[in-house]
Amino acid sequence: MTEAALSTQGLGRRYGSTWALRDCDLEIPPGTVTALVGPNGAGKTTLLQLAVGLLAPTAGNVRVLGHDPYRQPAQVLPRVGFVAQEHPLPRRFTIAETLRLGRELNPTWDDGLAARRIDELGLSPAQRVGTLSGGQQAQVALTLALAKRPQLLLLDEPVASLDPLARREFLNTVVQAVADAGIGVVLSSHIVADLERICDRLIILAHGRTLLDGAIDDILAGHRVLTGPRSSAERVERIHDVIRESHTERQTTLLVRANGHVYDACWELHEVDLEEIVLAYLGLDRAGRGTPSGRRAVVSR
Amino acid sequence: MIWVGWRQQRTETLIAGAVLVVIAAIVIPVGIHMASVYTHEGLAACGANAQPGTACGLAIPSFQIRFNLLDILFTWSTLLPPIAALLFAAPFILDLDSGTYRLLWTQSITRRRWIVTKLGLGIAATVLVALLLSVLATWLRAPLDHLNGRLGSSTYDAEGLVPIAYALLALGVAVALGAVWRRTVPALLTAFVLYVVARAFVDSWLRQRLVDATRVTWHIGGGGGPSNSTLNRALVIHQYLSDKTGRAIAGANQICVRTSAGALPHTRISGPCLLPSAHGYMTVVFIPASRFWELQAIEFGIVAGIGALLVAAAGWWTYRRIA
Repeated sequence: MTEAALSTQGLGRRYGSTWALRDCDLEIPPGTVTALVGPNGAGKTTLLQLAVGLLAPTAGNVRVLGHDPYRQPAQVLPRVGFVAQEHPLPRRFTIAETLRLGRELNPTWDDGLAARRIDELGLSPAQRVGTLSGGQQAQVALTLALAKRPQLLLLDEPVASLDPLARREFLNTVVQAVADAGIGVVLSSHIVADLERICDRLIILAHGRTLLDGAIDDILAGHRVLTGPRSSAERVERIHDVIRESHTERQTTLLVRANGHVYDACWELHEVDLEEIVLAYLGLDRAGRGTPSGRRAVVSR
Repeated sequence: MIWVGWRQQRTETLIAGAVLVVIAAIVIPVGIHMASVYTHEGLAACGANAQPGTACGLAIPSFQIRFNLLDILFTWSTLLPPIAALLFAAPFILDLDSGTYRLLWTQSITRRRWIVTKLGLGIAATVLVALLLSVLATWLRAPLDHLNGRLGSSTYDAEGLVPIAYALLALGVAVALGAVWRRTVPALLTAFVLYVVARAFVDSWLRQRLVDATRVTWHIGGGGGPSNSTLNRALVIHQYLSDKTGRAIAGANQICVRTSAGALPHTRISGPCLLPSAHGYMTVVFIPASRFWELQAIEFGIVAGIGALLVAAAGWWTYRRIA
């Protein structure tokens, strides 16, 4: 399994005259847990639907486990577990019938695994899906995806509609499954909290473009907040990428992607958490300043 | 996928099955009763050539009046196949409406297989229900058909092949709208309205143009026109006073009928009228009963063909456009 779990080259998808995703180049290694982060409308859902063959690309191409998901669904679908946004399930089915659906439609179906998961969730096979809570439905949808024994799990906003407790339980299930089976996961979210705990890679998307793509450890190590007396960011900018710049009357705060060490003694260095980095990138984008490298946004306070 | 498709259509199938059972439970005893009256009163031997005053001439009208209610019911029963079709269109649209197609298309089967299975099951159930209703109607109405022919609209629409064609048309309209619209209830309601419009168009305009009608002109006094029973059993398109060449005489659409003028069974009398002797010729344009199957086959071909095209269009649209 040396091929990338998911790779894209110049991938784009247009709806009418609007590009939902554009010039997307990604390489997600197998066996990693990757978070796809961005505001609503960033292109996360489009990317995942392209990856599972629900959509055909307008430009470029996408490979999942080495194959084109739209043209070669038979090579891709059995090896990929997908939970769509809002985790749709046939509401009139009982849980037992939902599992039978999985068995009928998937050659690699693991009945024991599915039954065990339902049991662990404290659900009865005779319950109707329509009567379950949102969190329970999400768990059943996840069970359906996991019992395929996939090599890659694609989750589109799996926790967006869940309350914090259900969100935590859902993500724990994902973590557990990853630990048990060593499968790769790509999950999209507009909620950054919790991601650091379970993910090892992060991709930030906004307005259909990739703003940042890397291992979370590298991202955390590479970003710093610099605080110093009020001044221009010009000198820092010559060496580092300034992601966000804000000023108070006496102080300037910069969030930078550091290229090497920051030697300048004027600046006080702080570590920065993932959420702040994500917000900085998205804040940057909200100001409409294009890609992060070499550009900056000014957030006045 | 067949199990999944069947499971998603189970409620609809049970509803349709229950309705069929109820209809059969009402209609079969009535049919048996009617058939026994028909045999008992010797109507089979009468044919439709009952002359007034004979035993048959009395028995036939009384039989027809007695079972007249069935005719009225049958006018409405022609709505059953399309309603069943809308019912069986629902599972296809519901998957698109509720988003569950995203679940089904991302299991290990292709979306082509999903489309073929769902639409195939919908077609199969629709055709089966329409076929059963048609067979039931044909059996039930056998005595009445023997007397009245099969081209009266309540009979023609309920028997033979056309109920299946209209059910397919309703299914096609519904799934095509549903594929594009992806909202179940509005799509089904709109499909029903469009179906009724299409149906009215066929009934009032298209059907009489599907085959070349027979045109007969005859002198009223001299007889020689089609017999009562021929016209009774035919689909009469026009009947009017005319000159010798069959051209209509302006304003002359009502004539006074004297009891002796037995060859004018269909004219209604109201208001002022012309004396037949003033013009003397009658023209009738009609499709004779013997062409029932020819007409049915042509109408079936056109209507079922359009229905099948719409179903295929729904499948194509779903395959190409939806994600």
